Amino acid sequence: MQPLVAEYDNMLRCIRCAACLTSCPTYVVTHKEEEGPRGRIAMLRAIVEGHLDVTPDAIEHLDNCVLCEACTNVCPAGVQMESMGVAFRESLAATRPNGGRSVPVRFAFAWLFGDLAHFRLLATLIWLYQRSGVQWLARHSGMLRVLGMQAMESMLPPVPAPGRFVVPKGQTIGQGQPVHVFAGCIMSTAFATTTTATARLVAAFGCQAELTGGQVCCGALQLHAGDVARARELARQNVTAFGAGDAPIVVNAAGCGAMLKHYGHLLPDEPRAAAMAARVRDVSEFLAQHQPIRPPREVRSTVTLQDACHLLHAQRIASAPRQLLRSIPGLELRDLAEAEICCGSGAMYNVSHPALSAELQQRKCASIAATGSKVVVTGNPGCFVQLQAGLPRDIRVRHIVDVLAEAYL
Amino acid sequence: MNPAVIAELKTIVAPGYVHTAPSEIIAYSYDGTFQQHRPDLAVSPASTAEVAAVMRLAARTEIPIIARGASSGLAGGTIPESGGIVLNLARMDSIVEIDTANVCVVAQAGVVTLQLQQAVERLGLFYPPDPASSRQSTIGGNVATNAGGPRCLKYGATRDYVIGLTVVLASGEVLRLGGKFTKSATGYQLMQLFVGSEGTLGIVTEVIMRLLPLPRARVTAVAIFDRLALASQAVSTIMGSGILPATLELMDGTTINVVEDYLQAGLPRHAQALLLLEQDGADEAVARAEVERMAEICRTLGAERVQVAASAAERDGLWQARRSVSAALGRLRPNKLGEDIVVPKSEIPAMIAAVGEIAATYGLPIPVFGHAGDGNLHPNILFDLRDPAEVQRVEHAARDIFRAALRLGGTLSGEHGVGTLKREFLEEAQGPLAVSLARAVKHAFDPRGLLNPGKVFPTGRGTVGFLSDLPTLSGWTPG
Repeated sequence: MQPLVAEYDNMLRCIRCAACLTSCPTYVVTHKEEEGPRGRIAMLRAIVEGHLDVTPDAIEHLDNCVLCEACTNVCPAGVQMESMGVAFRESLAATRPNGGRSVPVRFAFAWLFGDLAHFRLLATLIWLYQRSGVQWLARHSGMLRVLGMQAMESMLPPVPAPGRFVVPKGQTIGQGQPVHVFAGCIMSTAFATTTTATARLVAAFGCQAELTGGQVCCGALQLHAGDVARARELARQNVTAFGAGDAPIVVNAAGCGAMLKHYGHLLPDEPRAAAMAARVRDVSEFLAQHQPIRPPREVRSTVTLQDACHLLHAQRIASAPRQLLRSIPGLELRDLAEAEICCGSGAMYNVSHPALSAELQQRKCASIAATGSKVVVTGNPGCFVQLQAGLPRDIRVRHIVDVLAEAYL
Repeated sequence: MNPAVIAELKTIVAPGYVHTAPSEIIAYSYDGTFQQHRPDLAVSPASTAEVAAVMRLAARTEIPIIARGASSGLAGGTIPESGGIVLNLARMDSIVEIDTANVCVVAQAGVVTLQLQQAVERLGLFYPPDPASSRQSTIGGNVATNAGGPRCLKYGATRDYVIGLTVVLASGEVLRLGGKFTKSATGYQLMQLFVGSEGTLGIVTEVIMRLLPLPRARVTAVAIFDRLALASQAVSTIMGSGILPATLELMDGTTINVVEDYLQAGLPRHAQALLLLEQDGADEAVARAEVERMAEICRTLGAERVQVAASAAERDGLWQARRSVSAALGRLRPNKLGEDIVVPKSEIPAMIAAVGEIAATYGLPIPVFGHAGDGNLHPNILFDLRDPAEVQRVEHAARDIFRAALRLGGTLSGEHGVGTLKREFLEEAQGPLAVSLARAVKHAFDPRGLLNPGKVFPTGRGTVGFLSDLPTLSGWTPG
């Protein structure tokens, strides 16, 4: 429980004012104190103080936390929920053989995410699966239901042809201030067209975008699963890849951006980590601070914006995406009720906690439908997939980069 | 807890809403103070009928019931200090009806105050009571503590808006009081007994509140003083000037700095006092003229700077600063004891001076903020619970603050309630006759003492050790 003990001062900051409750997705859907931030902090504190054993019920309530950081963002006393949640997962993993992770998860963390080439191989297999008729067969034969993989399979985004994957190896586009583009694992494969558009947008806003070589997955999934060692390994590789310098690092996945901005805390012994983290910008944050080379085209559309938790809460970015969308002539942006509540995607929350995740998904989709918009814009692949799976067919999910690309490219 | 009781509870509420696991017991053991004591279990009912069924079971088996909403209270009112069943009413969060013709709202006890306010404001209506915790507090909890807030200066507290209640009595019977009418000279007004009764007389499950038209204009100003005495003098002068401001809030120098650390809102760190003035109404020009008059009073009395908020964003920034105070103070020391004394308006300067002397005597930081316009101040004693000697001094300081307020013709609590924190001083505040009559009322409603036992009334242990006797998980508070 050593990592948890290190979080004790963080826990003591909680003054139990309950300001976090109405921000917490799991509290909002259950109204149970044990499913809210204040309850989780009280449990963790009781564990560290020896008043509570790490009982299965405690693990369940603590693990139900989405790590969406909404509570951290409203906490007047400065409690940091994510670091506490990660410390708990890390402490728990240390008490279990192989960290309590299954063989496929260990394989994924060690091999799949360790090298973007490996990830591209998996994406290619998924593309084959989706294109070859195997998917049709799997879906119609009931095989997925038998394997219990129906929900997970339905969330796979349609993967573009492997020839379109983004393979970062130092290629550049545009002229001007040098800017690194973080390609990510899912964003460089399943969302490859969005990532290509991200580089072109950076160029269209007067900068030189580089798809920097040597970069790897950000490590967020590993960190949230308590595999801190693996997350640190990846962070070190990225710190090396993006080097010293002062060029901004533009990220088009809110979850990855939040993680990269966190590298200074993750690698306290690596002096370059904090400096690199300070250069990280979400794509909306970056573009809102730069001028486009030419004015935007008209895009006739009524949209609403789904704030990704890792943008709104973890990076505290709310106005930049709105400002960019409002800059597009013809585009009407409608407010979304409960914008600050998580859609239930989490990191892999929809896979690990299907029931709670589905409830949050339904709640979010109902809010989106109530706006009357036929398009919902988001800046995170997890939210994208979660919303697409939950919305009726006549409401489209679009990455903010793809909307901006239509206006500016 | 008897397994038969647990089994029966599981037949009353939906699966998953009887909370008995060790981690769950911890989650229902605290409120917004430092106190903590495990209940035997907690249960989250979804309707008045379910609450009544739980209460009938509790009455039959003589198990205490501690009702709570968000448990954000600051007086220990929802600490299950004698075990029993915590009744979590947060699930009952429906706004049943907003009746525009009768200008009232019907809401279940678990509706969050801010959500109720936003819902009625969308229809041009207004629910004024605005506790700083409105983002998390529930209507049921507001009724139980007669919650206030800055706007209560002009508009009155929760009590002034409750026109109907559904209450589950200690027997499990359901009592309906009042209705969608605002006048009644029909017998005793039993309904008012439940407002501020802190869950000791019955369990409020549904509330009818009268509403007002939403004031269209709001004008806010901030006045900065380099001496606290000048600010408190300004408060008395404004209140005697023929203006009734919507709010008149005060923050002292320590408070200003703590909030500035938290928000970086550009508050002046060197100032010794800040007044937040607001007027609202149907007419912007009238509200603005009154704010200008108040600003002039502040200038005449030597305010260093007076600034009228130019935009809604600027106004919201000022209010965010005020709303963050209580929680931001938690950053200074590990623990805080938030007091809630009230004095006659004219005694505010004397009360603030007394708090300053008490802080010096015991060597404790005691920032003061609060609703200066109605004489309701929140001296917050900041300390570290792990230091027994300090806890001892906190206890003395709190006692002296209570007694100073009483000496100046005031009382113990304006809006937090008595709970466990102030109960030993109730007789000093109200006199033995009033307390014995109140005990008779309690006996009439709850003869076996099952509803929130131990709260509000003096325990008989006396005022010495009133703080160190309160429970935490490590046993009793050191000191």
